[in-house]
Order: sequence, then structure tokens, then C-alpha cells
Amino acid sequence: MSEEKIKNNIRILRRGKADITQDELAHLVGCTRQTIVALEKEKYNPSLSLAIKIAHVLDVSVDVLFTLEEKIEE
Amino acid sequence: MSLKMKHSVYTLIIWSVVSILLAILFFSGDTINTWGDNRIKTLLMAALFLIGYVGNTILWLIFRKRKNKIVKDERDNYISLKSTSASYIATTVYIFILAISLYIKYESIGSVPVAWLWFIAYSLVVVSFLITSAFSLIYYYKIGK
Repeated sequence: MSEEKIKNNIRILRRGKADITQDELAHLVGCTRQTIVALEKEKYNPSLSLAIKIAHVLDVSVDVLFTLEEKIEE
Repeated sequence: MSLKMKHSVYTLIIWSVVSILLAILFFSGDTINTWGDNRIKTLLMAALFLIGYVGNTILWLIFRKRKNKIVKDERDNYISLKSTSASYIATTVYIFILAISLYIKYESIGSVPVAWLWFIAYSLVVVSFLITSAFSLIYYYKIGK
């Protein structure tokens, strides 16, 4: 049996390349700071439109920002 | 804590107070058997709903859309959808258990006092608000405040 999990690099890219705060990113993409926190903790998967907006702000493609991790369980 | 989560906390508090007062009013004295004669209690129970709905209106005014301030986003909508779905099932279970309990209690007598029908109607509203806000808070804790 396999379980899929979406991993993201939002925190790394936000702190590194973009150098913006969670609040700034939230403002730029039009969501709340709490949503950015939930995304960075990988507790919430964003909609496609939000994913594209975040990728646009962080200047990367969506597939760089999000990766699909497959856990194989016996 | 997000604004919508605060909204859920306040909704839970308001309707918890209403539910406690409703239970006190309904189960104190001989309300069930003297429902038709007790006009004051009937009016008081209706007034309780006014408290609840006035509270809801005040919350709506406080947490309504503001300029340059994001009150809710897609995560709040997702949580709202999940909590509404969960509360639908929980409310159905509540009504089922209450109806079956009344049936068992009054099976031998053959009729259920009309006060219980009022109680089902009133408590259904209270329970649905309570459960929806409680589930919202559970999801906020699970997904992120």
C-alpha cells in the first residue's frame, strides 16, 4: 500500500532567494499569514491557483516548489 | 490565531451560553408537563434565540470584509466545508439518539409531551451552531491556527 504526501520548499525559498517574511508572502499572494504557516508546516495543501501565485512570487516553477513524495507501506 | 478561528471561538461561547440557559429553562420545574400553561418560559426560550442570533449578527459585523485586510482565505473555506460536513453527520446522530430515547421513554404511555417537540426544534438550532463551531476549532488545531 502506498501513501502520497505533497512536500514543499516554501520556507527555504522564502527565507533564501526571496528573503521575505510570511506576512509579506501572504500579502503578495492574497491569503492569511496562518495559511503560509500551515503550508510551510505541510499541514495544508494549497489550491492550484495559490500554488501558482506562490511560485510566481518566489520566482520558481510549481514543480520546484512542490514535490510528490510516495511512502510505500507494507 | 486567524480571524475566522476567533469567530468560531466566539460563536462557540455564545451558543454554549444559550445551550446552558436552554437546558436550565427546559429541565427546571415541571416544564415538560406544563409546557402549554407556562407562557413565560416559552417566551424566555424564544428570547434565548434572540441572544444567540444577536450575538451572531454582532460577530458578523466585527468580522466582515475590510479594506486591505484578508478576513478569510481558501484554507478558512476548506475548514468551513469540512466542519459543516462533519456537523451535518453529528447533528443527524443527535436527532436520531434523541428521537429513539424519547420513543423508549414514552413507548408504554403512547404519546410524547409536546414540550419535547419544541425542545427538539430549539436544541437542533443550538446543537448545529455548537457542533459546527466546535468542529471548526478542531480542524483549525489540526491544520494550523
